[in-house]
Amino acid sequence: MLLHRTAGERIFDVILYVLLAVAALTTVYPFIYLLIISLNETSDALKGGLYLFPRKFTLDNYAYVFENDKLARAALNSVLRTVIHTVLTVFCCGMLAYVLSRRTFIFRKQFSFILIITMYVSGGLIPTYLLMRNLGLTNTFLVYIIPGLVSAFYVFVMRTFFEQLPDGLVESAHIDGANDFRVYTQIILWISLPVVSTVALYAAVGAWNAWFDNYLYNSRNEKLAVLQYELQKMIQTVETTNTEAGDSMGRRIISPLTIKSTLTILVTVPILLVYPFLQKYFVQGMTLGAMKD
Amino acid sequence: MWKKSKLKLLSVVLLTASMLVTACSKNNNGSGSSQSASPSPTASGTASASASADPSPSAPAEKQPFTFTMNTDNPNMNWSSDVAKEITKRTGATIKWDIITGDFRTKMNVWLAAGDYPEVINIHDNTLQSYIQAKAVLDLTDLIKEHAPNIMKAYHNDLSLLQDSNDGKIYGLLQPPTDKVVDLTQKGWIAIQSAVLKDAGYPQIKTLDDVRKIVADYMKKNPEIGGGKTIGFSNFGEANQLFNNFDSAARQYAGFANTSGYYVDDQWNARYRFFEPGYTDFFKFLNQINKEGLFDPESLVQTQDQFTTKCNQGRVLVIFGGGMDCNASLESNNMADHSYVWFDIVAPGKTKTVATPEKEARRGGEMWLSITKNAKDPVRIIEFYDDMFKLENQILVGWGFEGKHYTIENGKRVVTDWLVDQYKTHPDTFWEDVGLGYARQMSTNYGAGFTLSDGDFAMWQFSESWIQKTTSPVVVETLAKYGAKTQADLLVKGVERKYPRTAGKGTDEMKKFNTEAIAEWGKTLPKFILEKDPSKLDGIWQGLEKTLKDKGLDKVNETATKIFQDAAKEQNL
Repeated sequence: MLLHRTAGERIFDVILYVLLAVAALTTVYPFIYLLIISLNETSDALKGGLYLFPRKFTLDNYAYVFENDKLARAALNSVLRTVIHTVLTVFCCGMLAYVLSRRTFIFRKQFSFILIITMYVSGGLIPTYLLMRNLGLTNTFLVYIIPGLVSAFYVFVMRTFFEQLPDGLVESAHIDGANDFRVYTQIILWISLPVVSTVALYAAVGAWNAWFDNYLYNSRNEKLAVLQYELQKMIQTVETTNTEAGDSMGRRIISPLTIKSTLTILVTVPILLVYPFLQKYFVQGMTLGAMKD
Repeated sequence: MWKKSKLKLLSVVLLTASMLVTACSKNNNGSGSSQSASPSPTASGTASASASADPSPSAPAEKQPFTFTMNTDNPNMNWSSDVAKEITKRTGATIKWDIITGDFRTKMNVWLAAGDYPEVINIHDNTLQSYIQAKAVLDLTDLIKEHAPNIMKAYHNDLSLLQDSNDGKIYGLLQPPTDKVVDLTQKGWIAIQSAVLKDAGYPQIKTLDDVRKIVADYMKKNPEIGGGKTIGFSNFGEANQLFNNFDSAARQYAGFANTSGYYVDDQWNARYRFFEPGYTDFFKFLNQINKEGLFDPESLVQTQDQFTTKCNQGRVLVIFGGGMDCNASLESNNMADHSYVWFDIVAPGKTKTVATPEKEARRGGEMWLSITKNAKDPVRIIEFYDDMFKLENQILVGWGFEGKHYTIENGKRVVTDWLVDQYKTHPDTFWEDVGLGYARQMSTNYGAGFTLSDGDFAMWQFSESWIQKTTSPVVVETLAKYGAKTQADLLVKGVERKYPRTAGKGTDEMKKFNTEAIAEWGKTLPKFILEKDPSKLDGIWQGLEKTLKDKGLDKVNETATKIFQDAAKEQNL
C-alpha cells in the first residue's frame, strides 16, 4: 500500500506529521519546562535562560516541599476523595442516565430539561454555602462527595451512549427475570466501559484538582485538608516571603518560581498515571461505535 | 400532543417549584432558628458581662483561661510558639485561628451572609463596611471606655481616629498612634550597583549627570556581564507599573512630596502634578540617555519577572523609581559585588518637600480588628486587647523575649544573632516559628519606624540593629564610603511639611478621571522618551495636557483643591 502512494499523498503526510509534532510539542513543552525549573537550583533559575536541561541540578526544591509534614495526610485525603467520588459519581450518574435512556420512562424529557437548567444556572456561592451548612455538611468529609454526586454533563454523556445500545439487550434481560437495577449493574455498565471510563476520568481529574470546596466549607477542620489546599497554602507562604525579601544577606532563597513548578509537577504526575489505564477504552469506544448498525 | 407535553412540563415545573419552596422554607426555618439562637450568645454575653463585672475588682479572676476564635490570612499561623504561650500566661487568652487560604474577601463575605464569622475578625476597611451594615460587628465605644484603660491611654483618650464616618460609633481597633517616627527603612529612588561606584572610585552622586557618567564609563569597560549585554538604566513598566515606577522617579527628582497624584501648593491648591514645572525633567534625561544607549527601552513594557531576571543576572547597572532590588539573589549567585545602593537625587535648583510622617494608622489602608456578634464574651475579649496594649506586652509581641530574641545594649533593644540566623535559614515560616508574627492580630502592627512609649522601636524589623545585621557587607562597605550607615542616611534632607489626611475622600468622578489620565499618560510617555528630536518634547507633553483638559482636568483639580482645603481646615493646618 505504501508503494502506491503518490508524491502528493506523501507530502500531505509529512505536513500532517510536522503539524502533529508541533502540536504535541506545544502541549508537552510547558511540562518539560516546569520539570527543568523544578530540578534546577533556585537562585540560578532566577537568572532565567533555562530551556532544555537544568543548569545546576538539584532536588532541593522537592526536599523543600516534602519538609511540610501536613502533606501526607492531605495526599491521603485527596486520594480518598478522588477514588470515592469517582466510583460513586459514575455509578449515580449512570443510574440516572440509564433511567433517562429508557423510552418507556414517561418524564424523561422533563427530567432532562430540569437537568439542563443546572448546566446553565448555578445556585451562586452564598446560597450554596448556606445549603451545605444547613445540611450539616460543612467541616465534614462528605462535602467532598455528596454535592458532586450527580453532574448533568456526565448524565447526558452517559445517556447518549446508553441510547445507542440495542433495546433488545434490556428486553431480553427483563424476560430472563432481571429487574432494572440488575440490568443496569450487571449488563449496561459493563458493556459501556468506554463511556464509563470517560466519565470516570473527568470525575477523577476534577476531584483531584478540586480545592475550592476545601477552602469554602472545610477550612475549620485541618484534618480534612486536601493536597491542593495545602499546596495553595505553601504558595501563599512562599509568595509573602518573597515580598518581604529586602536586601538581607545570606538569606536562603525560596522563590515562587521554582516552588510552583515543583508543586505542579508533583500534583500532575499522579493523575497522569491514570490515563494509560483508561486510554484503551477510548480507542475501543471509537471502534465500538464504528461497528454498530 | 404538544399541549399535553406542555401540561406535563408545567406539572413537573410546579412539582419542583413546590419542592424548592419546601426546601427553602426548611432553609428559612434553619436560619430562623439560628437567628433566634443568635441573640442568645449576646444574651449570654451580657450575662457573663454582668458576671465578670462582679469579680473584675479582684485582678487574678481575670486571668482565667478562655479561648476565642479569630481569622487570619497567614497559612502558618499558630498558637504554639513560646511567645503565644507567654501571652496565654499573662492574659489567660488562647486564640483559635480560623485560617483563610485563598480569596480573603470572598470568604469574609460568605461568612457574613451565613453568620459564620469568628468571634474576632481582622478585616479590610471596605469589607468592614458590609459587616457594619449587616450589624455583624459590635459597637466598641462603651466597651473600651468601661473596660479598657490601656487602650484609652494609647489613644491619648481620644478615640476619634476609630470613629465610623457615618454614625460616629467605633467598630474596630487600629494600631495606636505613636509619639515619634524614625523610619530607617526609607531609601532613595535610584539604585546603583556597588561595582559601578567602586570602579569609578566612589565619586559624589549629586546629579543624574554624575550617574550617567559613571554608568557610561562602566559600560564601555564591561560591555557584557555574565555573558549578557550590560544594561544601563532599567525597571519594569508593564501596564500600570509604567505609571508607578516612572511617575515615582519623576516626582522624587522634581522634589514633590508624595501626596497621591497631586501637587499641593502653600494655599492647599491641588493640581495634577504632571504639568508642574520640573516634572518632565527626569523623562527628558531618559530621552537623552536613550540616544546614548544607556536606557533599556524594554523598561517601558517589560513585566516585573522579566526585569527581575535581568537584575538577577547582574546586568542592570541602575534601577530607577523604587521597587525592589535583587541583592539577596545576587549574593546567592556569587555576584554580591553587584549589590545595589539607593541614592536620592533632586534636580538642581529644586527643594525636596517631604510629607511629615504620619504618627497614626492610615484609615482605609490598615486592617481593622473588630469583635463580632458571635463573640461569646465581648468584655473578656476587649479586656484581653486592653492587656495587649500594655507596654510590656507590646514589647513581647514586637520583640519577643529578652535574651532570646533581643538583648539590651546601651538602653536600646538589639536583635540577637540567633534571630538573624533563624531568618536566614528559614525565611518562609520564620515569623510564625519564632513567634513574632502576632502584631497585626494584636492590633500593634506598628508602621515602619514607630516607637513605643519607652522611646525605642516598636518592632524588631524596623530597628537599627536588625537593619545593620542583615545588610550585606558589600552594601555596608559602599555606604561607608559615603559616610552612611543605612540607606536612609543617603536621603537628601528636605523641607518637612504636614499635609492634611485625605485618604478615602476622592469622588468616583475623580477616580474615573484618574484612570483615564494615567492611561493617556501611559500613551504619551513612551513617545516622549523615544522621541529623536529634543525640540519636540515640550510639544508632546503639551498634547497630553490638552487631552486631559478636554477630559475635565480643571474640574478635577478644583474638586481636589476643595478636598485638600476642607481637610486642612478640619485638621487645623
